Amino acid sequence: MEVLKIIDNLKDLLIKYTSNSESLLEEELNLIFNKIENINFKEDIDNYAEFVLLGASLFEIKAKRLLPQEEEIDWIDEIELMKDKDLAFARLLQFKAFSEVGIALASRIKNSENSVPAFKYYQTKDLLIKPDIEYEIDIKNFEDVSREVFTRYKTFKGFEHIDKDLPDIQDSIDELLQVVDKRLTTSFEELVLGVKTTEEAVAFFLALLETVKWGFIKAEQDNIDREINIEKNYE
Amino acid sequence: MNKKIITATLLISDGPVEHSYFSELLDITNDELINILKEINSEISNIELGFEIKFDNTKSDIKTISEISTYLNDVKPASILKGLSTPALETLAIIAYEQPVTKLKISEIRGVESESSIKTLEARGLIETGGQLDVPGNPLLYKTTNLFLEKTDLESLESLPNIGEYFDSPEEE
Repeated sequence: MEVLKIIDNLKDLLIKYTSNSESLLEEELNLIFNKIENINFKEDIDNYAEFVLLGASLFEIKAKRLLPQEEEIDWIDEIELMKDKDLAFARLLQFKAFSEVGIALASRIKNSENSVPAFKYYQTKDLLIKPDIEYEIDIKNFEDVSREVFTRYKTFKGFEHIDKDLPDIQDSIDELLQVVDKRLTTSFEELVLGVKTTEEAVAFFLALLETVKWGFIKAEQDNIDREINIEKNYE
Repeated sequence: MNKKIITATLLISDGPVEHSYFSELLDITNDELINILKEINSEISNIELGFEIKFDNTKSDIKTISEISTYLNDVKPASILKGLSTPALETLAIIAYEQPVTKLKISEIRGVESESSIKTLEARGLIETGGQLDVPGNPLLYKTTNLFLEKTDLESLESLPNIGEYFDSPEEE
């Protein structure tokens, strides 16, 4: 088919342009444009759309080359731009397709509604009277239920921390300030040397953040691998 | 006796009846059931009644015959399409073919926000939520309902035509 042949020629030419080779043949281009002028475009719409896209890309590139250029065109950028255009075009086609399919589905629904199902009491299930919920309770039951409710949370995953004996942040702050007062300078690593549990280390770190925030001490760390140096803030 | 039970069940059932239900109730095979349904339709047709049993391989329902549909305009329920906009139909098509699908994906394909179309389709019973995507934020997934299959006269989602089939040109065929 003539159009397909021209499209193939256009594709070849586009590849030559975009590869930034010097093999641009003016004659080849003129030949294609002459064919375009002579061809009858009553071909199918898909080919026509592809032709328009390719033609537009080619013209755009040619127009850019005609402009005065101080520096080399970045062909990588041009290819990226073309990829974006292809993607946008593909999305447009996808959207167009779903749009048509939506109309086709509506047509199916319209046809199927030409026959109407027998009248149904679609809501009968909901209209039926629901059985009463019977729950007998006496003082003893109530006491048992209450006890269960107030103790059950301990058995739930995620609530274990509630009864956990965690270190007190205020105590950690006091301890931290005492150490800093005595030593004048120290490091966070030294402070946590003596702790036995992760929770205590976390408490010390929180205490450090609080005391820095309040301006009692200064803390510095040159980079993530180095120690956190702590000193009293005399300002 | 089977014919009486089948027709009565279809008359009062809440929507189409699965064939497996009749097979179990009447102790008959699916092929036997389909033969009975054909016989009933033939008898109904002979006495020129305005309804018939519409059935496929898995379910059946009593419906009016389509050639008299124009005479039923005053009495039949409003079309589910009434007031359904083109954007809603686009959204329905996307959900039908991409399901289960998130709101974000639908909006990406359409290039516009699709909240109101989804709400409309949900209210009509054509789509429903079906789980959440296992990614941060757990967005809801949307899928079509049995009513969608019933309304589009499809046996199952597998019988949805391939998208390409909507665009086959006579030349290509």
